[in-house]
Amino acid sequence: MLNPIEIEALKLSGFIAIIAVSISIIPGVIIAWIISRKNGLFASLLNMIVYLPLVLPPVVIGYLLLLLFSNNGILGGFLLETFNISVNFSWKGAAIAAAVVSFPLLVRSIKLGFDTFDYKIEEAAYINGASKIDCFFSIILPQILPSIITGITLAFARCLAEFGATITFVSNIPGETQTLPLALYTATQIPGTEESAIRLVIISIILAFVSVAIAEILAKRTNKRILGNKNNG
Amino acid sequence: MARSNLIKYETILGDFSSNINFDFSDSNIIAITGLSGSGKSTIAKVICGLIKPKNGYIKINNKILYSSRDKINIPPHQRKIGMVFQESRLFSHMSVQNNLLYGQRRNTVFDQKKFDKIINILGIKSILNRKIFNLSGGEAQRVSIGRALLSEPKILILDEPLTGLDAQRQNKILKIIKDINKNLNIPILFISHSLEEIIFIAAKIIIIENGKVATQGSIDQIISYQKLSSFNKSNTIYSLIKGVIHSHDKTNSNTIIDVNGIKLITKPISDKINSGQIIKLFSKDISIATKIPKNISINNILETKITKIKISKKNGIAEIFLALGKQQIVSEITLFSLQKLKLKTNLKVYALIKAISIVGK
Repeated sequence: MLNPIEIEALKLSGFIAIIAVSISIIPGVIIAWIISRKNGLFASLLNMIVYLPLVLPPVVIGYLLLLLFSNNGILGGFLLETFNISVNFSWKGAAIAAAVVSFPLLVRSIKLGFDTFDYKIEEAAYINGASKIDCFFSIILPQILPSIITGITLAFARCLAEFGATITFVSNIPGETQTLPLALYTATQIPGTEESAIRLVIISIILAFVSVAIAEILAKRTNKRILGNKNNG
Repeated sequence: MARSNLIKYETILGDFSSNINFDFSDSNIIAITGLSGSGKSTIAKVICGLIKPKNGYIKINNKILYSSRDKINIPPHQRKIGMVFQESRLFSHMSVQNNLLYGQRRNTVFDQKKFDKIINILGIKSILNRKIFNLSGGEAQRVSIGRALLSEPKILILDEPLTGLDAQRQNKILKIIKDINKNLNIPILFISHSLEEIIFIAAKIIIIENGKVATQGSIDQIISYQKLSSFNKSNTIYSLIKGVIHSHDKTNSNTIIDVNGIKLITKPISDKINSGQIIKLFSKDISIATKIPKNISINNILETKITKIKISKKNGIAEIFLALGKQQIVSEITLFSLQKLKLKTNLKVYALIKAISIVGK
């Protein structure tokens, strides 16, 4: 059985992942659309910036977040003065770190949906009386739903696995910022907690496996509902 | 008030420029035809607003949709054009019924009577709850036509709607299109490269060549070979002529067709006497003799005169143009035969017609 610290870490991991993915979906869809449909310098730059967290060392991301969101930082100062919110050493900071690190996976999946969408269908919607916004919500979004679901699930799994940026940015505080990987890290550092470490490793593997399996099943189901079979997708 | 429609525009797409000008004011079916790449489909896209012309003027049902001079360019979703594409372009995440109602919901209030009328004409009542991916090609195209019609368009444009369908389904949809035109009193622009389809369906034909209107008129006016030859695939040369049923010979199971006073014998046709027929004669099925041949199985041996000879040394053939009343047919013979028979313009010859096919009325 799990001890209270492990249960707390598990709950916190789930909670932070849900928050991180939730705040990412709308910007993720918008940015995926821009980099899929638009050409030019702005779209190219955006494309590179979005994918940076995928290749940068997590500690670099954590440190940059620390600089940006500290009470003297550009964003941290703004949040503190305007909304009286400080994200330092809190779950909010952990959610931001998870969101930033998982964002490229979300955007890549959704972008793939936009890339493979048949834009002739869009023309048919316009001629049938749909404005561009109407068409986006009534035709394009439902048709790329499998990609959005895949992106959400992959991003969720990535959030659960987040370690480097989080520990650099918001430290390792039980009950506040100590997610599963951080709890596991702590367990590996203290003598006599090997059993706890093994339990956390097993939970991590199961969670990762279940997340990816859910992503596959949901995407296939939605694909089938929308397109009949996966070959049409 | 007559419904006036005017399409006049100039557009440049890459290295292809198009300069189109035609008008129509009735609710008939107008066919637009031409070789692939001639700019047929561009016309549809310009009318729909999917392509913005460089300059020009588009008016449908007395409403200006585009005018470069007055800086008017109504967006596609406000143009009220019904469009059916080569591929059905249905929305695969919706049922047939929701596809049908997509345009209707965005353009007009729901009218059950009209809905029923349209789905009855199209014969799609039994498939309303089906998913799009479970439809056959013909069904999908009928749903696509229904979706366009229910959006209450001022004009229906069909861009090669029969491509990829088998002959049986093609005929079914052609009949449906005629029914729609008759029952819903809506003008239809029918874009197709197929002469058979056009002759079957259209009252007026517009031929597009290299982005321009080459000729236009009723079937009677443009049926002569010269005008149609421009988009006739060179390896299957044929002539189209028009005649009326003269009589039915029940003893020999024949029908006799009168083409400007000349009688052609065909297989039995079930239509009434005096009904108009369009006849397709493949050039390879017409042989030439300088004397009337005897003891021969061919029934249609017509006395005629050579009006023109077109020689193709590359292919070793000659196209012999023959007068048939005011109409013209073409025979394809080898250059060897041309020399042997010493054929020349204005020479009286006999055309031996091996096969006749009826392609329309």
